[in-house]
Amino acid sequence: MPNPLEGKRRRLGSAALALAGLVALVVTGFTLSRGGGNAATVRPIDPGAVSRLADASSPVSASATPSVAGPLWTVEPAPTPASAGPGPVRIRIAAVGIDAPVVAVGVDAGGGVQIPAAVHTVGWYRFSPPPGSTAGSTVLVGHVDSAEQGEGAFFNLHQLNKGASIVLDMPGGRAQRYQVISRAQFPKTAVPLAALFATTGAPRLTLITCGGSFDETIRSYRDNVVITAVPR
Amino acid sequence: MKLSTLAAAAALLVPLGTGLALASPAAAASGDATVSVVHGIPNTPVNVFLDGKSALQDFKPGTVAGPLSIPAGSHTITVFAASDTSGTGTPVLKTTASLQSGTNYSIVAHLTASGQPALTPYVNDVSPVAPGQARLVVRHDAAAPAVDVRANGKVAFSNLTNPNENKADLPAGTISADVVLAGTATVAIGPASLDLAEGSETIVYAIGSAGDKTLALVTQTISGLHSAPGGVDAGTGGLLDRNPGTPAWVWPVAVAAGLALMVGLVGLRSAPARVRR
Repeated sequence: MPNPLEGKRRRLGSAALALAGLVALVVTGFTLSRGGGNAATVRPIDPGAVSRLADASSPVSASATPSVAGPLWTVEPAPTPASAGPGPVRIRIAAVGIDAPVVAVGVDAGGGVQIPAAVHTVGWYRFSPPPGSTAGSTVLVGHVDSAEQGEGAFFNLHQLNKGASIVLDMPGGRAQRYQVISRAQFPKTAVPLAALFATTGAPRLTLITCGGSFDETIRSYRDNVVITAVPR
Repeated sequence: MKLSTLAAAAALLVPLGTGLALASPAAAASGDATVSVVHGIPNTPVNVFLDGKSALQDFKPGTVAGPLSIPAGSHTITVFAASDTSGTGTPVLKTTASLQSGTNYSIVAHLTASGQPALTPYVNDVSPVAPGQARLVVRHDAAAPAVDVRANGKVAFSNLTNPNENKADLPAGTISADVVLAGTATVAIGPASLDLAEGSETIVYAIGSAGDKTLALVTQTISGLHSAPGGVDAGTGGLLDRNPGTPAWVWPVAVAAGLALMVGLVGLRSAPARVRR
C-alpha cells in the first residue's frame, strides 16, 4: 500500500517542476521576442517613397532647358548667390521624445557625411536643400549611439511611425513642419544614397541614423534606418 | 505550443533586404546637345541666328543666354550687328558647330588676343563633382596677354592665354578671385566674389580688351553636378543591438524548461489521484 504522504509529496514535486518549467518558458519566450525585436529590423513603412519622391519632377529643374521649337535663347539673369538659406537650429519629434539642437555638417575625410561629435546634437547636411526649399531632400543625420557617450539623439528614431509630426525650428523662430510617410532600413552596402541625397525631386525631409545588427569587430551597425517626411 | 509560436515569430525577424533601384541624375533628352551662348565683345549688342532663324535679339555684351537643347548634328550660328534684325546683311561672325548628343557647350563671342572678333565653342565638363565640392573653370577670352587667376590672393591658374581654359574642383564656398598679368601682382580684373555652390560649375570668362580698358568678367553657372556622400555612419555603441539575435543561454534554458514542464505534468498525471482521504 503506497504511503499517502509520499504520494502527496510526489504530486507536489511534479506540480513544482511543471510550474518552474512554465515560468522558465515564459521568461525565455519573453527574452526571445524582446531580444529579436531589438536587434533587428524595423518594420518597413512604404520604403518605396524614397525613390518615388526622388524621381518626382521638381518644379525647379523642369524649366531648365526649353525645346528648340519654342522661343530660342533667353538671356540668363546675372547669377544670384547660389548658397541656399540657413539650416534648422533644432529638431523636435514629440512622438518619440526627440528634442535636439541641429548644426550644419559637411563631408568627412572619407567622403561620408560628418556626424556631430556630440551624440545629442543632430547634423543638417549643409549641401542638402534647407527646409522650405521647393525641391530636393533636406537631410538630417544623427547618432543612434556612441561607445563613449551612450544613446544618441536618434536612438528612438526607428520607432517613428507614419503620420508622426516633425518640427524643425529655423533661425528667427520660424518652424517647418513635416509628416512622416515612410520608414525604411537598408544594409549599408545597398543604401540608395543618390535618392536620399538628391537635390531634385519632391521637397522632403530625410532623417538618417544607424540600426540593425551591430558588428563588434568594426564597432559599427550594419544598416541605416531612414525616415522620410513631407511638408505639412 | 508557445515555443513553436516563438520560433515562427523569430523566423519573421530575419533582416529584410529591401532592394531599391538607385536614382540616377536626370540626363538631357537623348539625342540633344545643350548649348549656352556668351557675349564677350564690349560695346556691341548683336542678334544671333541659329540655322538661319533668329535665336536671340539684342544680345548685350557681358551676358549669358541659354542653356538650350539643340538636336545633335551640324548647326550654323551667325551673329549680326544689332541693327540687322532680319539677319540679311553680312554676319559679324559665323561658325558651323558639330554638336554631339549629351554634350554641354558654351559658344563664346569674344576678342582674340590681338583684338579680332571670334566665335569659340567650349565643351563644358559637367561630370559630377565629389560631395562637398564645386568646379571652377576660367577661360581667357580677352584681348590681353597671358594672365594668372588668383583665388583668395593665391595663384590658382597660371599663365592662361587666349582662348584657353583651366579648371579645378574646389571645396564649395565663397572665394575672392582676381586676374593679374602672368607672373606679376598687377591686377587686370577684379577682385570679384564668386559663390561656388556645391555640385555646381562656375565658369568665369575674362572678356574685353586691355588696350581699350574694357576688361571684365562674365560668369556662367551650371548646376546638377551634385553627387551623394559615401554613407552615414552614426553609431559606435551597439546599444540598439544589445541582444544580438538570441542570447546563448536562451535555447538550453528553454529546452530544459520544456522538459521540466513535461516531466512535471507526467508526474502529476501518474501520481495516484485517489490518495486524497
